[in-house]
Amino acid sequence: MRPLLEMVQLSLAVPRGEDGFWSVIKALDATGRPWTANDVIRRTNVARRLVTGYLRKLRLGGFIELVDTQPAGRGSIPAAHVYKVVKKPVAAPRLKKDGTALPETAKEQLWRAMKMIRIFGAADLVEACPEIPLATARNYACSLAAAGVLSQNGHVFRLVNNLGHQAPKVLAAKLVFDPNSKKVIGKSVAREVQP
Amino acid sequence: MTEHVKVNRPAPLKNVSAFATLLELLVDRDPKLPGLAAFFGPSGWGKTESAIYGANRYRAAYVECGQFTSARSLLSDILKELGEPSPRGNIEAMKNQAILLMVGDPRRPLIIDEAHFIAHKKFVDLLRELSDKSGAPVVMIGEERLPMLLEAFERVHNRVLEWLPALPCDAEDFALLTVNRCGSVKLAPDLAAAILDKTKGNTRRIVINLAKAVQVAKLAGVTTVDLDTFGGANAINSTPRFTARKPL
Repeated sequence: MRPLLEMVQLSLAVPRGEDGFWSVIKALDATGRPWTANDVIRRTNVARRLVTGYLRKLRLGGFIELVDTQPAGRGSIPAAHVYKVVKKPVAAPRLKKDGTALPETAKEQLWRAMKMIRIFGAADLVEACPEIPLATARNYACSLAAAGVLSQNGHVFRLVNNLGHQAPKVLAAKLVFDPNSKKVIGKSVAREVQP
Repeated sequence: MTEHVKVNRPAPLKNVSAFATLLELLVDRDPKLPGLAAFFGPSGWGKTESAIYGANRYRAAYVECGQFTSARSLLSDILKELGEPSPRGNIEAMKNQAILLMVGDPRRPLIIDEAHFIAHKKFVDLLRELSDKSGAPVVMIGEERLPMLLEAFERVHNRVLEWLPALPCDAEDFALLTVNRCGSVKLAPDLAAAILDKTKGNTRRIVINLAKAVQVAKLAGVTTVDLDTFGGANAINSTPRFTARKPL
């Protein structure tokens, strides 16, 4: 199972996704100088449009502000927008295309509810978080119980390890297993399970 | 056709909507107004459970106090919830960092549960400072003596924008709880009235009784439990008739 863990570590080391972009943006802002989309792209390794798309949403949502436009340089250096951060929440803002805020994910809501009630059944969670289906709450609680974050006694769960402000993620891995040598071969990729 | 009632829909209990409204009021308040609030009521009235809906709606940070909470441990918990995984430094440094994090997102409330444990200690002023300097709302949840304890600290007390007393469970809330907790099992009106009367609207005790009613229904093989099947009025888990003697 080692390659799987390595892959998870790797994806943590290289910032990806909106969380990753936001952490890069905060680090750039901490230097005190305005920055461009290229600065963000250079620190991550994803397609350009993913970063610029997120920057656009952030600008529409009022999290970053356009302060300047660098003129196109000599040769093939294109013009670039220079930004600065206006609002700086700790967690990456989750935004729709038009910049309005998205509600928290089901897992984030469930995790907060778990921290608040401490002793609960899946039905209690659903009662506290009305938009979440019972199956989601139960699956998430069982996954956390299997990992030792909750202790399970029949249908009742108890929070035993408060891990912190971010909700634990449930990942699923795709592995290639060779029954001849009884080994997992090749690289394995872990993805977050959709709630 | 009661079987088609969705048993797991939210019970919009009065406390749930009251707390969500309180957070809305605080988040959208005039920035010149103070940002503290208190939600208080006796143990077992479902304050924390009622707070979850509002907390999720406004992505609140939630911290729970205890008997031995100190300024340092409280700040450390607050920082962890605000997103600083390993808080360090002296109290002043931690406080400044907490303010910095709260300023970054002034629409995100901070909820301090079991605040009666710290309301008589001098460092309760910390909450006032966090709210004043960051502009983010801070809501204290505690038992019924919370306002009385805070009276000793005028600086904190006069910055509380809203005092919200928790409400006991009434007949309407009770019906919602029954639908949520009992599913297809029904409670006869006499049992419902007896439980509500004997528990004096204490949500935790009501829930215990509802769970017992479901058990009784299973054992007796009935779908409607009345007071006799339940075992009479004495079988109800109820508030003590006499208040406990004060410790010397």
